[in-house]
Amino acid sequence: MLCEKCLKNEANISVKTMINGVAKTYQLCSECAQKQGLFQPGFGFESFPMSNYLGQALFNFPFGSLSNQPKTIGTKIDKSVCCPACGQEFADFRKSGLFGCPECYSTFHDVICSMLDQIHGGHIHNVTQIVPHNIEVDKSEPLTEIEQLKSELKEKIQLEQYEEAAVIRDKIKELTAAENSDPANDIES
Amino acid sequence: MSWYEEHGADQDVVISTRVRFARNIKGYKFPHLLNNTKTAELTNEVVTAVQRLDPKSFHLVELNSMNLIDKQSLAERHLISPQLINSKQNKSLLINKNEDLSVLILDEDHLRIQAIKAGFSPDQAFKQAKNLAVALESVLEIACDQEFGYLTACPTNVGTGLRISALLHVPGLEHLNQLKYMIESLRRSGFTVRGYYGEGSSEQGQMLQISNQITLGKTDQDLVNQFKTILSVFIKQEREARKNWYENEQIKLQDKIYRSKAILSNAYLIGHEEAFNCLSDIRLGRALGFAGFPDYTDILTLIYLIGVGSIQKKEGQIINSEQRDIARAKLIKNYFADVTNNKE
Repeated sequence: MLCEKCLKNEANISVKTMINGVAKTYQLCSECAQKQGLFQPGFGFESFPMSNYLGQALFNFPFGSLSNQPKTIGTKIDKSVCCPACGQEFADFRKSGLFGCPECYSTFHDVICSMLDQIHGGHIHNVTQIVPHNIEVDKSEPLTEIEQLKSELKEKIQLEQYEEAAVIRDKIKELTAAENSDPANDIES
Repeated sequence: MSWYEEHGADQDVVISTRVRFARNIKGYKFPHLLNNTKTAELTNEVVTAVQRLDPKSFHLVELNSMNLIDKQSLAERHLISPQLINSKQNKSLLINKNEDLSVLILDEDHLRIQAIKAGFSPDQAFKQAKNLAVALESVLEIACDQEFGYLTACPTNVGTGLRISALLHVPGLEHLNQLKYMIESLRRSGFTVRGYYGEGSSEQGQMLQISNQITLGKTDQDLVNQFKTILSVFIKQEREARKNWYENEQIKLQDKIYRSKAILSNAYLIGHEEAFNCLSDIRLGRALGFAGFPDYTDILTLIYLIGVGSIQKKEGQIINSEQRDIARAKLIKNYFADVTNNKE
């Protein structure tokens, strides 16, 4: 389908508007949508399913004004607020599409909630995620020097490099003897 | 052996599968605001942590100390994004021997933990990347919020920080003019479709990248499962389209594929785009079971070797466009001559 505005490009954005209670849908190309101020390039919204959104107000702050979550309706932010940890204002985010630091999520909490509702269809992280269950985690301590040497020894034997293996074997013997005579080990055990 | 020299599932349609987790470290500003001192401090902290976890597997590559050609070559193998090639900030990459697991330090986020596998291997890539992400969490203070999950510089990655993507070869759907409808429905289902080289790139050689768009509200395992379901449908559709094409236009299809083979086997000068498109035809010939066609692993290796950066890397110097076209043609021609000789 061609863009209803320029009649040249393929329409790839569907814009719904509600004016005086009358709903209308327009099919536009991204270029025309951008000219109409409906679309900010570089924000990463280019490929979003635009038909889910309600027209012109979408990219005009506040993001939450049209969200269907009552909690965040009409969220506004004091323009003078800046993040105490990084000094960024919300206007900086609007320019770059990037927050300044992890603390920005607390500083701009309410407006971020609204924005995440728009982007991800909600803003609550699935908490099962924070403590992963089904993944084997290697919580073992880093290898000791002896353990490392033992694995090297195994490799050398597999590669039939016996001379080098002998050197490593002697080193392990030396270290093991030293460890056994170290009184600190007795305290730990 | 590099990952692209290995075989994977559904390789007739899926070239590779990638999983990456975005993670950030508490107490630091996001990368675009970090000064040089903090950049060095954070890089050092991450490198030490990774080496503590696994002292042998990874080696460190500092992008600032690399020349343009080497950086281009990394981007051509999808290890860094093309946008990083000209970045002034020092970015680093910790990468294992077969290049299937890496940690990119200071891209848009502090850490991008990435696993890449041949063919359609979402479970393997997910497991490998997740294991490293979880392990890193035990040695680094990762920024994570009870409400929003893992915090990222861009709100489009927050939550799980997971991006799963597959690089697909879809000549059948394109030929039947079905691709744009498939892309549209994928976008409506919450997936992003991009060109071969990712963000901002166009579709090339009938290859495209599909990835999840939503990262928050679902577990990472659910996101992977959803991706698998959608991709299975897509793979089936592409196979149907190829079958249909072959049944209805066998001679024309054979002609197209064998012409490409003739060009690659005989050309003295070949540009990147033409070579890429011809290799796409060769790949289709391999999938259709044509005799004497190279394996998927060889085709992917060739795709990597003929890139603008990789071809100069192989030549060991910066060369102009015509010299590159000559070197590229020679490289491909030698490869096809070797395949023929080996067969004989």
